[in-house]
Parts: sequence; structure tokens; C-alpha cells
Amino acid sequence: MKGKSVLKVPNGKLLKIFLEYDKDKITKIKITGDFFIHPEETIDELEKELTGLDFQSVNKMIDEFFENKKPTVFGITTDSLKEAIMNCRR
Amino acid sequence: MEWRLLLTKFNDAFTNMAIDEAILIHRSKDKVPSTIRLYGWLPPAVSIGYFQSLEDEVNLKKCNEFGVDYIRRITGGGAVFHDKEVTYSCVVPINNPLMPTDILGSYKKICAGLVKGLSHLGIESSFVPLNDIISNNKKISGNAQTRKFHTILQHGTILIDTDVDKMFSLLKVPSEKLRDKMIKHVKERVTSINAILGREVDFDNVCNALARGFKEEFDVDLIKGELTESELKLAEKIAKERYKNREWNHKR
Repeated sequence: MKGKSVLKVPNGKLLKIFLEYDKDKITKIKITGDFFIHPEETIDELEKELTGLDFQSVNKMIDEFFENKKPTVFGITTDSLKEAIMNCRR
Repeated sequence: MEWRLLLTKFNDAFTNMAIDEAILIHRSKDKVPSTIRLYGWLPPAVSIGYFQSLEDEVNLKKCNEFGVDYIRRITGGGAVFHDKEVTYSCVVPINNPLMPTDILGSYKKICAGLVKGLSHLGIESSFVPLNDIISNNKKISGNAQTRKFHTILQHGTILIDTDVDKMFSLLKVPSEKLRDKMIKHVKERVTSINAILGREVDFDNVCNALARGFKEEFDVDLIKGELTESELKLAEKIAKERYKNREWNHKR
């Protein structure tokens, strides 16, 4: 299944997620938008770690990922990321 | 302190972005001074932010039709149609005493140079975090920064004139139904040097004003220089391997 979500982050930028999934599992994900993350490669790593993950594990994974990597982020939040990923499933 | 001023005039998108990256790499190895570069785009081009989806943001067919290049930047932020504008880049080590170390602070400092530059053209403007400069409540400049190898690269655009209709033919809109509404919205929110002054200002005059603004804001001597042979060589390599590479541009 393919899913896409577009989320205007309150006081932030536009977050667009393209996702493919098989039942509960994310099989492919692209996190896109006009936001900023430093270092930029953080988002590539996040995509890699989300691939193969069950939807119910996403929230915990994202919290831990940002806690560990501590990237500097402008225009999106962990909550908006979680919401946008879940919205892809509708 | 002495910084280098590069006036590289007009280049294609691949060369332009590759030059910025080549300067960043050379500065990080201390092979060149901190640098302010002012430049233009020929042919006009659309650049998208590092995180954006090329095919979702850009109408590639229309770009090809109009002879407009398209390219993914190494910096985040949004899609820009580079046509009648001056683009600058500022390459400085993160630990430079003239530059605040935090990201927001360094945006503010570099943009203050642009605000001073615009004032020399008779335009009042101000910085709006994170990455915009506005005049009369409308955006006149967008900026984007990356930090690699302990070095800041910030580049951005100062609009000399706008063609919002053309811009929207090159960028994708969520739906055709919304197109007119979005064009109207952007026309109300974006301005340019020519629109504010009610006359046409040429590229070189804008470059001169901006160079003066940076010089004053950072209180440095800006010495007009050239790209080194090594920078040019690296830029050529980066243009070929990254910016002309389909895989890079289509990676999202």
C-alpha cells in the first residue's frame, strides 16, 4: 500500500511524507519538506531506521532517535513527524 | 581581518552550487580566506531544498520547455526560482570570532549584512527568523545554511524583480483549483528591489550595495579575489558528480 501525507506544522514548515507499507510494517519512507535539520544526513538515517518498522513502534523509535542524535531542527517537531507518518495510513 | 569577495557573475545551476561547495571544502582546510560570493544564474534555474521531493515540487516538463535548470541544494529550505536576483554565499568557520556560534545567531548576523546592503539601495528591511528578510511586510530574501567540516555555508537570494506567474508555472501546486489563489497569495507576500524602488536596479549595483553591507556588518576588509585553480577544479568535479547527477537531484 502507498500513502502520502502533507502537514503544515504550526508555526513551522511544510512536512510531506511518502510511505509504502505492508499491513503494519513500513517498507519504504521518504520524509520531505522545506524544513531544516542539522546535520542534514540525520533525515537519511531516520528514514533508514523507520524502514522495516511496525507503525506501533514509530513513536518510541522517533523519541529515542532524536534523544540520541540531538539534531538541531527548525520547522518541524517530533510530534509533527509522528502525526504525519500515522496520517499516511489513512 | 581580511575576507575574500568573489564576483563570479552568471553561471548555470550546477556550476553555481558546485562553486559554493568547493569554497566550503577549501575554507574548511584553511586553503582560502573566509569568503563572500555574489552571483547570478544563467540560464534561470529552480533550486529545491535538500529535503524536498523534486518531482513533487517542480514541474520538470515546464522547466525543460522554458530552458530552466533544476537542482537539489545541499542546504534545507524551500524551492526557489532563480531568475532576476542576486544570490550570495557566505563561507566562514564556525569558530570565527565575528560569527555567533549558534545557527539562529549566525543567520541573524549574515542577514544583518544583507539588511545593511539593502539600506544602501534605499530599502528598509528586517530579518525574520529563521531565514527570511522582509520589507514592507513582504519577503525580499530567503536564506539557507548548512554546516560541514566546522564551516558555515549560508547562501540566499535577494530578489531584484519577480515573475510570480512564471514561477508558479515551474513549481507544482497541490491542485489546479488552488493555483490562482496561491499566485495571488504569493504576489501579496513577496516583493523585490524594483517593486519597492519603482525603478530598475541593475545586477552590479545590487552586488556593490550588498558587498558594502557585509563589509560594514562584519567590519572586515573585503578584498576582491578570484576562485583558486584548485577550487575551480573541485567545482567542476562536484558539478559533474553531484549536481548533474540524476540520482542526487531525484533522491527525494
